[in-house]
Amino acid sequence: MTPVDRIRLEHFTLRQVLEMEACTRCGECIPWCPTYVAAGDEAITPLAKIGHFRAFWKAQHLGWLARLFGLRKPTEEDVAAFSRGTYACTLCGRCAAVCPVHIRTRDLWIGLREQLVDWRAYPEVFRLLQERLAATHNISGDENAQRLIWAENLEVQPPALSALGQADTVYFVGCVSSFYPTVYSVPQAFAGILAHAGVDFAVLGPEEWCCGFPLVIAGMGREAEALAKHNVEAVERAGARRLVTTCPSCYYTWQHTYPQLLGRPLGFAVLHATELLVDLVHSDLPLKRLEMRITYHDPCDLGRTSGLYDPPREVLRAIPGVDLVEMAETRERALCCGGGGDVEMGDPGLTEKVAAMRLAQALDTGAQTLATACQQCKRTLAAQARKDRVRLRVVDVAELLWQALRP
Amino acid sequence: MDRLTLFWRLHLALLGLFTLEVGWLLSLALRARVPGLPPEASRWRKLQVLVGRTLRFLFSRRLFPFLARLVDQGVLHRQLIGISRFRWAVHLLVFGSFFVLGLLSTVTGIAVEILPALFPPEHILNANALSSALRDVDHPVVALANEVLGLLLLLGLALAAWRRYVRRDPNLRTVASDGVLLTLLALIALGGYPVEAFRLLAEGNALAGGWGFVGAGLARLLAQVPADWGAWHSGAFWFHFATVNLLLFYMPFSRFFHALASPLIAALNAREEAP
Repeated sequence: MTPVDRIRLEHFTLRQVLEMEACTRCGECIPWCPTYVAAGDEAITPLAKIGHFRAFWKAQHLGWLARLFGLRKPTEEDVAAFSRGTYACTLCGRCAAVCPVHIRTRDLWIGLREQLVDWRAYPEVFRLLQERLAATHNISGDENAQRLIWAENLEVQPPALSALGQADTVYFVGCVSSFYPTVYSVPQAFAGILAHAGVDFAVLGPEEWCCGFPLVIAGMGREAEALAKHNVEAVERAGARRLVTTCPSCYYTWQHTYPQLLGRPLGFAVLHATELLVDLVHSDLPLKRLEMRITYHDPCDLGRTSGLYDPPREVLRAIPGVDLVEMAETRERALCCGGGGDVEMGDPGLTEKVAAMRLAQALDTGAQTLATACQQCKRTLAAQARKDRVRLRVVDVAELLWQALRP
Repeated sequence: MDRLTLFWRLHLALLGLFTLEVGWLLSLALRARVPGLPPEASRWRKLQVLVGRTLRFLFSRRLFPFLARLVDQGVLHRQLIGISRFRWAVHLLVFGSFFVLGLLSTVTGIAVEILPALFPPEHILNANALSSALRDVDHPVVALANEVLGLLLLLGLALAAWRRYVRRDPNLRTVASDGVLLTLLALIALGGYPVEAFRLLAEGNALAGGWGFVGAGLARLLAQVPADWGAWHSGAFWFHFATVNLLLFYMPFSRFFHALASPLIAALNAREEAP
């Protein structure tokens, strides 16, 4: 760990600095924090994170007044606890949803991570992530030329942009769907639906690089600029009117982070897959009946972060025979799956504990199927269901729709 | 120099110190980014842009909806009702009472000291029922308002202390500064009653009663005790003054700064969350 005597408020907006001052320490966020509830580590609470940082920056600038009021410069132990708590956060944003003062915590936690990156006080795994992304342009470390490995067994291959040259819609698959076999079924289903519905689309294949989301949320956003530039240029070369993705984190990154990183608006629309699927299910596509009771898990980056709660539900309700039941905690207050915020990379055990909590909520509904609209949520929840021998099928909304649609 | 002159000189100086403290904190906070400006922009440039934006905002149609949210979300904390009516009541008792007491005291100061210095006695700003009421410390409405608001503040502080130290709500994380703050606020609220009682005793009005029923009751109780009540009044007055100003000095460097920052943030962010 390196000296931590310099605190850069430039990681925050002025409003964020005021947000830290506005925290009343009422503690309303504490019981809603999934990783705190799972781990019981006080350093994870939003109060501790804000309290630590507020004390650190004031101790640096207020001199003897800081000492008078008991504010001291951070020791290595303080920074270690601060780092542990800050990186054990899934960035689910539930704390913001319940905050009586409306503090927008998620962006604040990313700012804190940027400060920890300045101090080189971040988990080692993120250094490896940086290196892997620089070398292979994807989070798995596989050869990026293998981007279409998920499509190898398909009867009809998804059209690649390299062959077509131009496409109206670009399907951005994302690293997890591209390289993790347990969720290959998500892009397979979505590409199947697009082809079946006659949508003029193409995938980027090896030209697709990681969107940069894992770096941005790790506090290494500056290093995501090259990835953003490459991806946007690839889509622009295709002359696409819109980009669609099945990954909520990629969706948020394209929709909100890229225009900020590049300092300009993108010249095409960005959609999450469920927004496109809503249009398709209302366009007279014949759907088979699926008799099943389903509960829906809101992915944090799609729901709380991007505000998309209804499109996935609308798709599910459009499938004949589906009985959609809600979990006790849903929409703005939905519990995280545990797989967000890069927590899985640093502490997989913590991710498992949160996933088990969410599975218990799903089981309480009596549903046999747990649908979501995120490959990472599917991967996390399905792995935990297998581990806990829970009789619950975890699927993506696109998979269910494809099941109802395929010949 | 008489007591009131000394009071006003000190009070204005300490208010100036408070303003300097807040200004210093804000100048440090200006190291943070301001959207629309490059991160390396100077703090002076950021301040210029922020002042410009604020002025444009103040003269725009967005002001009144913002003020409505400031009251609804920032002061009344309506979102808290959905979480806990009890907590909401405690918030209103403490923040609401303190806020109105502070407002009443400020308006009284203006009516008693500033307006007569600026305008002749027959001017409408001096010769009206409200100014007369504020200048009369024994006016029923003013005396009753001060008395009741002080009691409501004490009730709120007692409930807050009960939540924190007796019931020990699992969400709360109690630190030493919580105790300091609750004690300071309680000393401010409690300190007003002896000032009132000793004033009545010093003026020889201890048995005359009055609308400030706690102070008047205390004066009645002490009426038979031989003492230099003028000196006691002076001591209680300066103690009350010192506790109020200690809080002002402490505020920008303590968690109590949220009393200023949270209404603003709640109003700003609630606007962006609105559909």
